[in-house]
Amino acid sequence: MADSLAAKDLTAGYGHKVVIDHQDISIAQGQITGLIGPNGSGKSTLFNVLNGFESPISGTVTLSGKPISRFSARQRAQQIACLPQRTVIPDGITVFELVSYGRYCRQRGFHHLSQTDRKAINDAIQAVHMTSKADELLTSLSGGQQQRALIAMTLAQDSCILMLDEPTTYLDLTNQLEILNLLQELNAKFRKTIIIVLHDLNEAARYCHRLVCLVDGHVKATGRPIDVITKAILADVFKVDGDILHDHGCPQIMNCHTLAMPS
Amino acid sequence: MIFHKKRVLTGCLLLALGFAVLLDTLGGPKWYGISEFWRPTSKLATQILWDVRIPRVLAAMLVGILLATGGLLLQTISHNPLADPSIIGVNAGANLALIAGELAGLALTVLNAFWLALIGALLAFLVVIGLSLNKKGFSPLRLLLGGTIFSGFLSSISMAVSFMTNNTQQFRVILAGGFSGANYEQVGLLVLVAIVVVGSVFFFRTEFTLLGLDHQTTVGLGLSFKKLMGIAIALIVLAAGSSVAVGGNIGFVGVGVPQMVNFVHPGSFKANVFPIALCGGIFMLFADLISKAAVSSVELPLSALSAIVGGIVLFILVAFKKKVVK
Repeated sequence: MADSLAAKDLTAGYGHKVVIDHQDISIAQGQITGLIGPNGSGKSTLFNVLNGFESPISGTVTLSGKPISRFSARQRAQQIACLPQRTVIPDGITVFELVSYGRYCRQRGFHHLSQTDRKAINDAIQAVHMTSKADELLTSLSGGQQQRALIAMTLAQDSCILMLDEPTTYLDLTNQLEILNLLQELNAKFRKTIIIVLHDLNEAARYCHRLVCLVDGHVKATGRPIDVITKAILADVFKVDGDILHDHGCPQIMNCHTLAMPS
Repeated sequence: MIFHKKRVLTGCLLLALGFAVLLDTLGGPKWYGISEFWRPTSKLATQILWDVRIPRVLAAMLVGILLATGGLLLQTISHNPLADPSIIGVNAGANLALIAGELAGLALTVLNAFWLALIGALLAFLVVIGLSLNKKGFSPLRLLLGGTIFSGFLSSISMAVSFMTNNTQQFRVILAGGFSGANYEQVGLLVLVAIVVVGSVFFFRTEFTLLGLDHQTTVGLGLSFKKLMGIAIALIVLAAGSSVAVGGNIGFVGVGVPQMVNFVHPGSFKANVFPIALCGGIFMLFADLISKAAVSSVELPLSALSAIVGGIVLFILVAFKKKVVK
């Protein structure tokens, strides 16, 4: 499987604080890759460096073989659509208008919406099953619907890579599953490469083709969920013990409890 | 359909602006009839209308447009609907620069007042932006808190300097605000600034609309964030600085007018910027009319007048629309 996004000897952090320390990471094309790890392990830092929002301290991130720093913001947005953890929802705009923002990177001149733009916006709204809500104000929608509208905005960018930082946080269980099912559907239908930061290991195991497990800025394990979600990793990385059941080849953690922390 | 509604709204506001221009021209300590334009009753009346009233009205209208547009720009980049150049110290910086310039022996000609006010506004804005930076970058909350304190600090210095040098009367327009001495030269410069500010806002309206989202999302959408912030800051300084150079210290237009328009007609930057600019002009024309016509022989200070109206509007909005403060 070809790599769409890769990092070589990557060191990243904030100011003098190194969060990711000399790591090699590659993201396979057309698959859903989950970034997992405990709080402070460097998931969000890695996420921000991979999408080009932050520059690495050293090392390179390449997008289709070319250093990401050589792409302009607009060119990058045509390749990678990205949804950060918390997005400000502006007042007074409709779902259609929000989704139309996704077309910015494809427009020129005075940014009038062309027929192609309108089709892409309507297709994106349809892909997240929100056609009936297109003209409604965003602020009148539920958290799950707002998240779906934001995903539609990233779809309208028409990029091959979609990156989402904890898209299910603050959502109830139904909405969490709806969002993850939607991402799975987008991956299957449009062969989109999806990179997703997740906290829930069972969700990560069920919805991702590959997992990258981080701890203290290092990649502890990478591969298929069945190879990454193991008792050893649970104990080493997450300091928990639990039973791992295999549901049609998908590992699911049960009876979880914390291990005593060394003093 | 939406396009049609927008045209109707803009048309109505343009009509209202025209009406306000006419009313503010004819109104004052002495009211004139509209026929004065084609059948003048005296030479004095013609002189008052053409040399005093019309430049004053045009200056008030342009300053209103600039203050409201500058306010909306700052609210957009700071994600805070209560931000305003006059609240965070940009206007106070321009004010202090004018007072300092005059005390340093510089003649406050129209041109000198413009560049002094622009430099003052820019320096004050840079200090406030410096105060609003933390480890993770730009913090809108720090911008408002730091700016409010800094604004009070600068205003106190202006006031203290004026009192200590016995120059309060001389600095009346700068401190209290107003358009009583407005002339065509000032109007000419304001027209230039308004063309630059409104033209840039029109050209970058999509980009400024996207800035309403958070930093990371806008960058993800393909926006050159730093470039856009630089343009927004330059436009805010231009709008606030030139307004202070002509009208002195006038607060609350930048926050009150965008809030009023957004309350009645919720919409994005792109949808509301021109209605807000026009309403800024209308608001300022009526405020100017009240300041010169409400009490005979006394000109009410515009800063107090707009602050009273702005204060009432903000109070109502904060009390009834909880979402104003996020």
